[in-house]
Amino acid sequence: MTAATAALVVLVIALALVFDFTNGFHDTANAMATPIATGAMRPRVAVAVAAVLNLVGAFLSTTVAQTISGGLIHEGSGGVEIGPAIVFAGLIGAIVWNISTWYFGLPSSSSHALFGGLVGASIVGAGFGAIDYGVLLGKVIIPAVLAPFTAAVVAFLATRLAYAITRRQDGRPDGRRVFRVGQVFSSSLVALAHGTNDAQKTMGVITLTLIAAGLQPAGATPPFWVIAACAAAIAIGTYTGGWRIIRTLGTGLTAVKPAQGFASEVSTAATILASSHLGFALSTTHVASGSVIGSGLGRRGSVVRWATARRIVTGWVFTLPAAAVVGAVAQLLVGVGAIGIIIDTVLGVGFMIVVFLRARPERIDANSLEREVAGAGAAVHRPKKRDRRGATA
Amino acid sequence: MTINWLAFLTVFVASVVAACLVVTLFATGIRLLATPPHGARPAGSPRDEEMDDVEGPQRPRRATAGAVALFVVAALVALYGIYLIIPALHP
Repeated sequence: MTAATAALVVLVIALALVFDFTNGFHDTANAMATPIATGAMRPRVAVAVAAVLNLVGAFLSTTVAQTISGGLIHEGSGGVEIGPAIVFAGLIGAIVWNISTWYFGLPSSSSHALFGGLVGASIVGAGFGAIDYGVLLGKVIIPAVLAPFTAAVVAFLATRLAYAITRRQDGRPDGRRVFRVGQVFSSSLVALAHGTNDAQKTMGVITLTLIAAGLQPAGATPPFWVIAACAAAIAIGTYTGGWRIIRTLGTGLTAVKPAQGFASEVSTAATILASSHLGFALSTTHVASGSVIGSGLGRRGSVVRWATARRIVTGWVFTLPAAAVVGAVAQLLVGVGAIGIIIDTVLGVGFMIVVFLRARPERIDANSLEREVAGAGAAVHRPKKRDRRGATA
Repeated sequence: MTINWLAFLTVFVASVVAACLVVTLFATGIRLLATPPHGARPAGSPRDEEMDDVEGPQRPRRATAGAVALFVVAALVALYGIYLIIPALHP
């Protein structure tokens, strides 16, 4: 192995961990947006619980896929050899897209971003024939369409039930505040399920890169340091809390109340567990967003803000193609040689810094969210001028 | 590749059943916790509040026991969920 390859492998591992981190902070909202919105858990506590459960979850489930793209790209003989260079470009695409959607507060699927990045890089590397369009449709596009509807129906029914059962005809207190206790557990289950699902993806990327570079035998399981590093990266990402996305999911779509939040989280957990065990994989993000909308439709007198829902769905539609375009451009530069890889890295890191700096003036964090939750009730969330412009752009 | 609609339908039905089961158990538990004391009079028109606490300590003991039992069953269903997500537990 040459020094250049070694450097590239190290770079890929670093980028994979950065991706894992963005995966974590993107998806904190899936579990914790609703308990934060109802005050079941304070924001800091919620993200800490989610981080610990993601850490634990990552260690509980370490089986990695046989191929990096899950059959989406023709890999191996007769197809593309997905080596460190393509993985590098794919990761750049995925990270750039994850950071962009975070900036706009949009929950979006990190697996779609990763697939998109890899697809773009592979097309540049090996042409359009490299993609298995049947798998793309059957495993990525159709599930993405079905997931939110499925979760919405489940959450709608669950919310109706929760309210029907606890409604009191005699005018005495109905005790619905107790649902907040249930929320602690239901959202924790979602966080744990997320840890077992998502940390694996990065473990797979790193392990398969090590195999491609000849550092691990084919079919190897992830070494312990890979498991530990991935678990730590996703946990730190989760703890950092994608507060913008938490706000969108917790207060932007609909005002979430305890019974409704509990029903929504139980629906998310049930749908994710059923999907990963009965062989029809659905994205956690799509399921969680669908559940929140469904529970909003299920509660009497609640309002679903369809404009926000439309923004989120638009983000989903663009996730794969946008990450693919960035991945493709990154791969074009990789084709130039070592200098291209350096330019890619500098541009990628520069992009992250610029976005974080731009996000600072309108910083959303645990404190601002806590104030918002405390002041909620009658208050209707109105995005800042800048956010509104972002919404129409 | 074709879409496995049967698998999707299974997932859908399983999700509805599991979610509704847990919510029914937990909500019924809360309904029992909110049981008024023996001989309490209705306090007005039907009530549909979001942030109500349960009523004081004079709730019938059987209601409390029933509620606890339901919460335990709901917790067992959640534990089954945890069992499902840990591959080491089912080879």
